[in-house]
Amino acid sequence: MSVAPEMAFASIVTLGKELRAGTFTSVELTEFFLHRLETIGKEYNAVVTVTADLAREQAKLADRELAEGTDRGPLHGIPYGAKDLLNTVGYPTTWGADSHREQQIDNDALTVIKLRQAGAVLTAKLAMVAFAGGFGYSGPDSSFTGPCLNPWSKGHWAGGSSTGPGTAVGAGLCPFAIGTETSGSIISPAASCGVAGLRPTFGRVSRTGAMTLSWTLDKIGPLCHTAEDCGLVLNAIAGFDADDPSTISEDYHYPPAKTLEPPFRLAKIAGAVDHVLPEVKENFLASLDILKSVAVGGDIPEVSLPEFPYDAVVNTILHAESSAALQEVVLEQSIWELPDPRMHLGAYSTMFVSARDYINALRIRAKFQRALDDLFAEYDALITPTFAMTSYPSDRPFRDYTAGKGLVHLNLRQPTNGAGLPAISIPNGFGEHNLPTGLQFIGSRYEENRLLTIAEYYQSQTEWHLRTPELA
Amino acid sequence: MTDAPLDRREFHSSLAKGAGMFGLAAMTSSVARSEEPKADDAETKNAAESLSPAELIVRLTQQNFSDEHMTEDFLTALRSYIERNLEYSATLDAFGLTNGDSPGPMMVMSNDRG
Repeated sequence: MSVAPEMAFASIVTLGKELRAGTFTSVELTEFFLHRLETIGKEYNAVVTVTADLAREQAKLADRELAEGTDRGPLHGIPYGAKDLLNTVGYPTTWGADSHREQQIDNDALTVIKLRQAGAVLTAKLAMVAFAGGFGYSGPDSSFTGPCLNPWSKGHWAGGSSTGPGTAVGAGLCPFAIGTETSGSIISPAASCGVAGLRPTFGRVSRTGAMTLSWTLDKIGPLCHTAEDCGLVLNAIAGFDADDPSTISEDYHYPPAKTLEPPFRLAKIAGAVDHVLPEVKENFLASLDILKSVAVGGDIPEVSLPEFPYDAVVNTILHAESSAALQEVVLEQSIWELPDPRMHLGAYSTMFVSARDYINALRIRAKFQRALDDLFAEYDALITPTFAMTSYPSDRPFRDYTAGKGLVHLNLRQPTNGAGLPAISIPNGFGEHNLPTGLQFIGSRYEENRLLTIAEYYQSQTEWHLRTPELA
Repeated sequence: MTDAPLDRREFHSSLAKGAGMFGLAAMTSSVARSEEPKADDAETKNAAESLSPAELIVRLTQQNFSDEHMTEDFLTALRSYIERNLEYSATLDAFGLTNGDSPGPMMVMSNDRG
């Protein structure tokens, strides 16, 4: 038996069916993806460590269990990769930083444990922007593994900070990957690499055993080929954890017991396409046309977010928390080993954020959380282009590329991350250099399943998620 | 911070322990109140008062984390980053919070009494 090349881009659902039909074993599937990780993965700077020994052991167990009639569910025997800030016993957890290349932590992240319990097979620790971009960064060359390259154009970047998870799924190196988002780090690589990326509600997934950047902003979530796959992975990793006080006690189930039926209450964010690339606008408007058919009254009204100083609030919180969480990097002066001067400045400039500013930022955040709750209660999802543009060239600072283009990203990443709201980005077309564009759905807290249902509907009507890149 | 008078050594020690940006001005005036004025103290005070808040924080950063990499160019760039953070601070101040505005849950009680 062998694994057909097109399986590189197959969904978890498809792979699971083939696995159970005996088309291939988990060991064969794992070897197939290990080879791609060792070759394409390293060529695209997407991989930190291939966990081959562990993967082979887990795949053998998965096959044995299936043969014995034990089926752990949809992820059983399915390979995956994890952003290299999730602890994994026996392998380094580098946080994307040269200074931490040898770091070994003697406990597995709870997400890694839960995926093992679900029968998934860990094949790789994946590249990321150093320290998840917590000190800021000026361009794609922001990790000791080099700029992570985009599967759709090797001259472009994967999006960050979960760079490796974006490229790994987009290039067919693993069927799904785990990323993290503090302020855009799942949504950005998902849109850039043409895959689905789900940012769960804050508190939905435990962060135990993951690098902390910000206690009140960090989230863990999946990047997959489809929205449906995102739901399956979230189902495996969600849940209360006494060691992470942010986690909520409410259970999460996917598929949901009761599916949201159309018509959906949809709205678009005012000004969403005012300053975006023409292809981003065109793709977004085409997406709205598809979604109008399932919108209440066939209409997708425009709404505006309530006025708050989102940037000042979220940046102050992030600065205060990250400067404490990662203080060792400054106190031990390993910050200077990072290649990007922007990171040095980001680290030192936040060492004296005042306690009063931090508390005031939290106080204002509590207000905008309530205001956004009120707004989102009226809709199943708010829709925007994920980004104003396609991804950046991989060989120069971001600013050198965007200067003079007049592009303005709608700044939804700050309010929605600040309020802990869930979002999903799925591909909705292509733009410059044949790079993907993204469509983002943002929802109320704990309403991931509404977003998934709407995104699944969109994917049932389109084929963007079925396109595969021609890898150089 | 307490109201106890500080001597010069304690003052510098406090700086080195990382007083917050707005605490710095308060400490400076506390020192001025607590000791008989001396010539060099007056110079210190005058020098501190002539610096912008951003420059004071740059000095504080330099004093705490001095490193050969902290060149003049680095410090100049650092100042602009700190100025941006101070703009955030001013924005937060201008929001109009009142005493009843809570930051939300700050502490989670556990049933585990160890």
